[in-house]
Amino acid sequence: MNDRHYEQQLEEALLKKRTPLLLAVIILLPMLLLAWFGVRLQLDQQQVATHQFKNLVESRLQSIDQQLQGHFFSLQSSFIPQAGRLHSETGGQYDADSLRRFINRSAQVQQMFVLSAQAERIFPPRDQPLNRQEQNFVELTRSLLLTPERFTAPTTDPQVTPGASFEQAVSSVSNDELYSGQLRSSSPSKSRYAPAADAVLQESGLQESESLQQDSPHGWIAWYAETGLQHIFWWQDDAGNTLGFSLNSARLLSDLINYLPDSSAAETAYNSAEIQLIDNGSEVIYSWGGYEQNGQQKPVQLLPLSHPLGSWRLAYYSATQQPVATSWLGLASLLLLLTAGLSTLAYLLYREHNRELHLAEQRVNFVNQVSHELKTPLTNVRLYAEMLENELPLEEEQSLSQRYLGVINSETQRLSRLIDNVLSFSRIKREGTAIRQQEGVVDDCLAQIIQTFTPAMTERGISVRFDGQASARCLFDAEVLEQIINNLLSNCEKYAAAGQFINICSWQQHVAEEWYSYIRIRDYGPGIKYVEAEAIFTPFYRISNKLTDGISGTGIGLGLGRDLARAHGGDLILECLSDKVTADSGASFLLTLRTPLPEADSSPSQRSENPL
Amino acid sequence: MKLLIAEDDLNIRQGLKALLETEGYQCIEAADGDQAWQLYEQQQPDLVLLDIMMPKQDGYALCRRIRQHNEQLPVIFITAKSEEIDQVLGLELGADDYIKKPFGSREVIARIRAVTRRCLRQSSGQSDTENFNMDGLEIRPAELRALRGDQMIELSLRDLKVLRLLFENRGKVVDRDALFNHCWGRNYLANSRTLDQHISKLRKAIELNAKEPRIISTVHGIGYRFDN
Repeated sequence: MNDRHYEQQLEEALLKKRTPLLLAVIILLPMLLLAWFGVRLQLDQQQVATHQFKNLVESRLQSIDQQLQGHFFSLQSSFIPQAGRLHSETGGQYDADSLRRFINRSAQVQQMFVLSAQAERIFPPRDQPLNRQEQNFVELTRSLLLTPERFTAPTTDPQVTPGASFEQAVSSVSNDELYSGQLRSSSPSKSRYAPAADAVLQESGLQESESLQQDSPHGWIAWYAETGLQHIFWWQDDAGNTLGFSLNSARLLSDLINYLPDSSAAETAYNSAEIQLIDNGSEVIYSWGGYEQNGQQKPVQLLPLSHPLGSWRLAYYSATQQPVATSWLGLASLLLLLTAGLSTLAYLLYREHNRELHLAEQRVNFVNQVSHELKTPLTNVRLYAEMLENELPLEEEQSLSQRYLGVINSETQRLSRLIDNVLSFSRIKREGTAIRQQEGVVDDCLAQIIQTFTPAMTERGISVRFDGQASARCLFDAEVLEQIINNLLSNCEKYAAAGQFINICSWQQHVAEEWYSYIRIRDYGPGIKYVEAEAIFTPFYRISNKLTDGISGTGIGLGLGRDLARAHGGDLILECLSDKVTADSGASFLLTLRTPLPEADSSPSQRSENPL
Repeated sequence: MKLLIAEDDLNIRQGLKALLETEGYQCIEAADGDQAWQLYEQQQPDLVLLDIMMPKQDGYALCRRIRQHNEQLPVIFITAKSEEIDQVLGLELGADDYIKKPFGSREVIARIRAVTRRCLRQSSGQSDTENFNMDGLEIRPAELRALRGDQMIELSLRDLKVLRLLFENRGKVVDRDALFNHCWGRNYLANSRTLDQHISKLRKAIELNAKEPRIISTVHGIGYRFDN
């Protein structure tokens, strides 16, 4: 009994927890789903943003590169006619004086050389003494001039190395220090396999006025000498002489820097970024932008510059991208808000639910409480009515007082049975039934019950015939038996009064090694249609026809009777008497109870007597 | 026999008292647990009727205390709830029986009688529990019963007292006062009809013909007599 109670308590506890668990799951699942989607979206957006940013940076850097290229283009476009003029002025001889004069005049050209078609150095002249600068220059360019095959327009873009991007193509003579090639086209999105130099120049939009000179081979060479990066523009005349202009590095640098924005520029575009121009020695030549990077930061993007600045690069530094963090924050706060909102709703729902449960429980408790409260006054009424009966003077006939008291007694007993019914009903629903078996005689118990009912039956003109064959001592719950029979007889009294007779018979027998007791109550009232045979056992069901109008009842008697019978190891059924239900066919209920025989050697305990 | 009735409802308590006094028991009342324990210690009852829901100490606690004191004392619980019955039977309180509310007078008396019989059996060997015969009626005090042939007649304690008194004084008149004092107690307040009513009832139960009593004969103006 205790185990069952514990199990039931456990079930109840789980039931109580079930609702909050369910609500928690209802909230959690969509929130998790939402969070997952949110994170995915965020990551995607982050990727997109990063991608866009990278593109932006790249395009910026490339535009800078383009600008720097532009300078070389303009140099080129000024050098080519200058070279042409030199050629025409000196009649193709390239005398030293003219060339020296040219050098002195030119701000950009520091030195120059001229190679014959046979790769002999014409200038600086070999047969003349050279000044210091020229000597240095000769030294510097010694290795260069020894390999005149550089001074050819390559058929393919030297910038291209199959599979490389933004990498310098090493010249055919693999010399890491020296790069030779053409200027790149101005639009980077064009195919890397740029066509011949002509097309390149055409796309850069240079004028075609000096097309003759344009057609002559020319190019740029950048190489590292001890003094740093040197740039040489070479141009070949139609005689095969090669002119080379070596640029003034300092002048070149300042020219280049002029193209770049002011280092303290308040340009909004560069407010959160810093761009650095880095030379081949990883020294920062120049930088600009509103942001100042600390030494630790890695650049967002590094762009190696185009030829002939190929060994230099642009580095783009940016402040850490704030938007990303804030958008994560935004997502998190959104989710949090949603969760909070849903949780609040769920909590309110749960509270409502609890309130409902509590109210329902209170209602049940109230019914129980009322029924219990009725017991005390009922006890008193019954007790005093019976004592009053005892006080009455003994007379042979039934006096009026005795009759009245009789009514009081039987009605209190009826009230008592009703209360017991209600309490049993609610108890069974809550916790099931416990059967307390005691040793006794079924027939004795039946006789007692019938005796109790006799006054009321007589009142209604019903006579009860009892044929008891269940006289063996066995174990059964007398109270349960009493309650079931009470309900059946009460129904007879209410509905079958017209039949005038009630037959009750009992018998016992072995069934599968168990001892069972059978009780049949048969009345001759209006009977019950077989179609309703099962329905009558459902709680609160009452057959509704003219007969039941005006008859009080709760409709729980038969259902209760069956539940109790089943708890006692038996059953309560309506027996089918015949197919037709006529006005006086009556009803027959069969009650079966498992009533085991007492153990042969059990010592009768003090409580085992059924004192009644 | 002395009964202790511990019940907080006044009407039930007094109703029980009246009922059981009619049966011949001496009753003391307690309205709460503390009073019950006090009276138990002072008065040493032979049987205790305990209500479960009482103020100050409930029936269970009281039962335990009594049991610690006296293992043999009969204790009957008065229960209102079925859960209480489970507890009474389930817990080893050592209760002898229980009565469910609402109870009828007959149920109470029956249970008290069952316990009384046990008590009498335990104290058997004393002179007042021996069987005796009165005009074909075998009176068995230990069983609270009388036997005429095969007919079993239930007798209350008081009935037995009356019959014994008449039997011990057989042939002599027992006057009303003596009868009353012996069977009801000196302190019992009753009207003059109490005795007569009781004798009437008793006659109805044990005489072959109540209108011509042979066991309890009336001696007008004085009392009653049993002629052997």
